[in-house]
Amino acid sequence: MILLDTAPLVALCDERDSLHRQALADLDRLARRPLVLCQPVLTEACFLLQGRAMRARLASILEALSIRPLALEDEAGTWRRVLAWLDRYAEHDPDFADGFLVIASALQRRSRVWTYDSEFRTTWRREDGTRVPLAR
Amino acid sequence: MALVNVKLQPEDVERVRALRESGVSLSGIVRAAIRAEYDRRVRPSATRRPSQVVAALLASIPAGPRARTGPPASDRRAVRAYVVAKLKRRHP
Repeated sequence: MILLDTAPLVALCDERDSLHRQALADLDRLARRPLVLCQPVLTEACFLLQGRAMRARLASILEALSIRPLALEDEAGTWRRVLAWLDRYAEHDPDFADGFLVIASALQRRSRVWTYDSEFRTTWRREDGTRVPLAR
Repeated sequence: MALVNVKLQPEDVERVRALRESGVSLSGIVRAAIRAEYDRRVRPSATRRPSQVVAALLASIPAGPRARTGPPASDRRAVRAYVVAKLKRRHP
C-alpha cells in the first residue's frame, strides 16, 4: 500500500508544478501497489488546487488511478495518536497531515509513504522510534 | 476517411466562425478531442502506463492560466501560511 502525501498528489494534477515530471515517473514505478489517500492530505490538496478545472482533474485522477480512502478501524483513537505525536514533535512544527501519515504508517505496517517532504527522511519517526518507510 | 456531423447551437456556430477566422483548424481540434476522450474513457488503462493515463486526463481538462495560485506543495511553510491566510479570510 502506498500512502500519498500532498505534494505528489498536487504535482500529478498540475503540469506546471515543478515536481510534475518527477511525480509521473514515480507513479509508473509505484502504481502497481494500491494507492491510498487519507482525509488530511485530500484537504490540503483541495486548498492548493484552486478552481473547477483543478478540482475536476483531482477527481478524475482519484478515479482513474483507483486511489481509495484510508480505512480506519478506530478514527477517534487515531486522532488521539496524531495529536500526541504532534505534541511530541512540537518544536519542529509539524502539520496535522504529517502526523496523520506517520500514524497511518504505523497502523499499516506494510505501507510506504510517497512524499517529497525531506522531514520524513530526516526528522519524523513513528511512535516506537522507527523510520517511516518511504516509497522513493 | 469518414466524416462526423455535429449539430451546433447558434452560439457555437458563432464560435466556429470566430475560430475559422483566426485560422484555427476545426478538424484538428475535433481529432484531438476525440483522441483525448478515447484515451480517457475507452482505451483500457492496463495497456497504458499510469503516467499516460494522467497525461491524457490533464489534456482533456485544460486548467487555464490562472487555475492555480497557491504555493508549491513541497514548501511546507509556505503551504501552512497559505492555508492559514485562506482560513482567516473565511473566519476573520
